[in-house]
Amino acid sequence: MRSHRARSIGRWAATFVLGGVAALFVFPFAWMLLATFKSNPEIFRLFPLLPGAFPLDHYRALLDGSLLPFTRQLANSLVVASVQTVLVLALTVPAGYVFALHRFRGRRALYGCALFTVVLPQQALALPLFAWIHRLGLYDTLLAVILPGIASGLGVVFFTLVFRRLPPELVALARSEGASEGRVLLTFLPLVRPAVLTFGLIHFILAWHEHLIPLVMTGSAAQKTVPVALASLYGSSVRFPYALLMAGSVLATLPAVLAYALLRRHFHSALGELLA
Amino acid sequence: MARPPYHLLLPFFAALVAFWWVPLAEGVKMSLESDTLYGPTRFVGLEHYRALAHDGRFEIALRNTARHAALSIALILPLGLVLALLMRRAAEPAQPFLRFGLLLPALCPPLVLGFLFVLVFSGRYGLLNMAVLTPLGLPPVDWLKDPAVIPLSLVLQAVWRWTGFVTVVMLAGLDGVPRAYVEVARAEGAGPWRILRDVTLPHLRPLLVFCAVMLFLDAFALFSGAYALLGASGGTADAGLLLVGLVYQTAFTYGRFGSAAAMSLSVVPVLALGLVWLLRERRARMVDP
Repeated sequence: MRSHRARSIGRWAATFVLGGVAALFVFPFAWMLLATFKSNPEIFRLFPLLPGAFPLDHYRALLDGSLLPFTRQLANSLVVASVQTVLVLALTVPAGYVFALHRFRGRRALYGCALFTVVLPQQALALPLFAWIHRLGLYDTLLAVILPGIASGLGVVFFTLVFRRLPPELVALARSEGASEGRVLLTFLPLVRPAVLTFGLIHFILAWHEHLIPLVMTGSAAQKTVPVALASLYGSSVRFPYALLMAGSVLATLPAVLAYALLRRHFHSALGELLA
Repeated sequence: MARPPYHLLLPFFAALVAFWWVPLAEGVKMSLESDTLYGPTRFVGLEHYRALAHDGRFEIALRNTARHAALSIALILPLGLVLALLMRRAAEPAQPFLRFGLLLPALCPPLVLGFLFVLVFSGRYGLLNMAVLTPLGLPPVDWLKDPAVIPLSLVLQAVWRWTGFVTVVMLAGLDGVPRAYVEVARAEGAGPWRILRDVTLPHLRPLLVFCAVMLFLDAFALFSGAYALLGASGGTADAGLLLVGLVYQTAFTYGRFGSAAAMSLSVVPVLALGLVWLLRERRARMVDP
């Protein structure tokens, strides 16, 4: 048996090492936040790290629409990511339920089809998707950005695993009441709520990050999402204040961080339950 | 066999056909047609695929992408595992903060990670050169122009982005290692290394495979980070040229849609290897619902 003392030293060492790695990971973000208040020469000096004052000029310049319709683009990103997430959940939760709790002919083949989408990501299909969306007459609309992401094979796999962990007695009981399948699924929803929120969070974040699909599917500034807008800002001029770009980057990072902060508990408990 | 509730499957499969199978078919058709920019295209058969075999840039992109995938997996998985093992020993009150710190890069859009990388690493004005190398009297290194360094900076970006996520996944997996197994192993005189090798790692295997497949696919979908660093080009000597970037450039910069479609489809067999890997991982229980 190790002594209490040795264990406590181990605990401090582990905390210290992890703290170092976490600090290394977080430092650029702190620097990014502080850079939004600095001029270009100040940004590239490490010290002083803290700016003399905290003027909000760069945020204002970004949000007042004189450079680019950034508020509109933030709203676009929010609409795209949330609508896509809701649609993905509406499609994949029922599919996962059926795959987990029903045995039927062709189940494996259909499941294989869903699984195949996991290995061929939409980015690889961006070009034909572009041609297809064009033919549907959806080019340069938000629907063109939302729709390509809704057939999430990953979601089907995730919810199949989730529903398979329900106690079999419970499933038998729910069915013995003679309720329709749709109703049985609805009664189970509260039980799998953490998992639904967790996958919703993961999909929302990935949709919020997506760059290639909105870049290809939209043309006008008013339909762009935040990553595309930021990339165009970055490429626009040689002598522009980096603080502006950093202010945009802070605003682009915030929603995903907030979403995680809100759903943190569900995320870690659902992950633990599913992976343990 | 009872009739399954097909109506619950239908919406997903309708979307799958509309936004996955149809575009895939469209892509196949596109790849068999000429690169004509204006006017009607004509059928050229497998010509684009044949041309790919002699396309030096395609080969470079393929090699860069494969190397990026291999290096990312080789660095991120062990690092994530070690951090997860450490996390279980860390002081309880510090854990939520440490987890958040490690996960923050995964929450941040990859484009922004790319920006931060540029500002730290770029040329003479980058933070690293201005704040560290120049004051020390060392010559500035052109991190984003030196073909020997570009692939490394892309891999470092992937490490920064994904290590925290892998750590959190491993942490959840470690919670599931049955205590009884560990105690039996310890009672039989196994040291920490033996326990790690013979109890913990076999238990984590499905998760390690899952993370490896995820990182593998991410390497093949990587666009944003490289776009921020190098633009749609591949950087000096195409050292940072990745597959999605090349497809984008071929299609939207040069207007060679047929060739670009052939490029994206030619990796389908490679990506299907990822699927085969998952299928073989029976214990991941992903394939056998």
